[in-house]
Amino acid sequence: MIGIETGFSSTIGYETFLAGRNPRIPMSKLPESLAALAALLALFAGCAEAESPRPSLPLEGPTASTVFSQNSSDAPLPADQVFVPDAHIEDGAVLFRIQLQPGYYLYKDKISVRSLSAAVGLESHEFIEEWGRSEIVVDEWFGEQEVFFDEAHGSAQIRLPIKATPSMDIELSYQGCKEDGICYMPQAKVLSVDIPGQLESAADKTE
Amino acid sequence: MSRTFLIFSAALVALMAGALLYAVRMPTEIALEQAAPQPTTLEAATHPAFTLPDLEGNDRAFAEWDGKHRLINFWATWCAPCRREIPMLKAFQDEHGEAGFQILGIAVDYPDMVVPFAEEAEFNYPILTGQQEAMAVAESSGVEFIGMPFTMIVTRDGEFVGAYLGELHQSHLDDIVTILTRLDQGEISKQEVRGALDLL
Repeated sequence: MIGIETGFSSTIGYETFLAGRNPRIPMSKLPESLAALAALLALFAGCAEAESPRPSLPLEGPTASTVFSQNSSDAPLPADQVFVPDAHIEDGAVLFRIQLQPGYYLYKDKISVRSLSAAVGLESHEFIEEWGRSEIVVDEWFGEQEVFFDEAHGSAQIRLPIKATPSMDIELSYQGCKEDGICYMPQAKVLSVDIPGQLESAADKTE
Repeated sequence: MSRTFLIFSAALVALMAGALLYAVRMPTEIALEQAAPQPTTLEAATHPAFTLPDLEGNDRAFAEWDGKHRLINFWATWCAPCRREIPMLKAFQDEHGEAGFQILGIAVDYPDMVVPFAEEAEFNYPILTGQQEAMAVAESSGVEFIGMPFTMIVTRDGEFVGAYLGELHQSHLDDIVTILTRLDQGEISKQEVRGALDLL
């Protein structure tokens, strides 16, 4: 549309020029000349439109690329992509793990686990530092903080006796941040964990 | 075949080529439109309207600050980058308040955590509080509210024009003042403000 309009308006000016000032092109050839000119202008306008850069803003100094730049490549990921929890039962304990994307961390004292199943109770959890070591970071507001990068592991002993049930629900809570970025809202994820046969058998005997 | 026919044929081909080249940019625009966050309601996305309690428990309507450019800053006491922003936002309010800029803090936190912190922080701008209802305000922007700090920008006439997820720095605030001042002076349009704030 823009290309056609440009060609048309330019043609009117060029017609006047041709008719009045260029003796080498007779008036009888004018339609052909105009058609050729229109074709060239249309092609030129199309090329110009396709290749022209995005119109720049009438702003001096910083523009969109510097304001709100975190909206693009460095944008924080959604929490579910950053913190990935899972859990299973082993040797009478719930073992949980939270995997993290690089550049993100979890506060150690904000991690907790509890049973949502009335049939199964959990003792307080402990962290398994051999599998995922916490680090001390100094925060100007909160002082020394223990945080996990990469992954956090913990275990919580199942309180016996339990009632016979093939699985249990646990709620894993945690809160973390992106380095030099945002802090995520506290997360609480419910995970369903299969209870191994051994524990179920023990539960049957106690009932 | 006449020469005129040939020339008109060439013209037609050239016109089609021009139109094709012009159309090259169209898919990009369509893709951008499709990628843009879709607000649940257009009105909420363009003109935020809400009421939240302040630290004294009084309900405060957002319209109370109509006529000012507003930076709605979502924060929490447990959020370190949020706390880092506060001294800078206070300085901004001191410097630009008379020119019609207004910081409005919304603490997505428990009031019993916010009140003692606020006493110590000595805010020079209003602080409102809330949980789900405060997050709903943030999400009315059409930008997914995944964490804090998060800042929404609303012009004097109540139109939402941009949002930023992350810690603001002085350069951001300087740019915002420049952009909104140029809007006031009629040098740029709302659309250009949105573009300058990189809002899709």
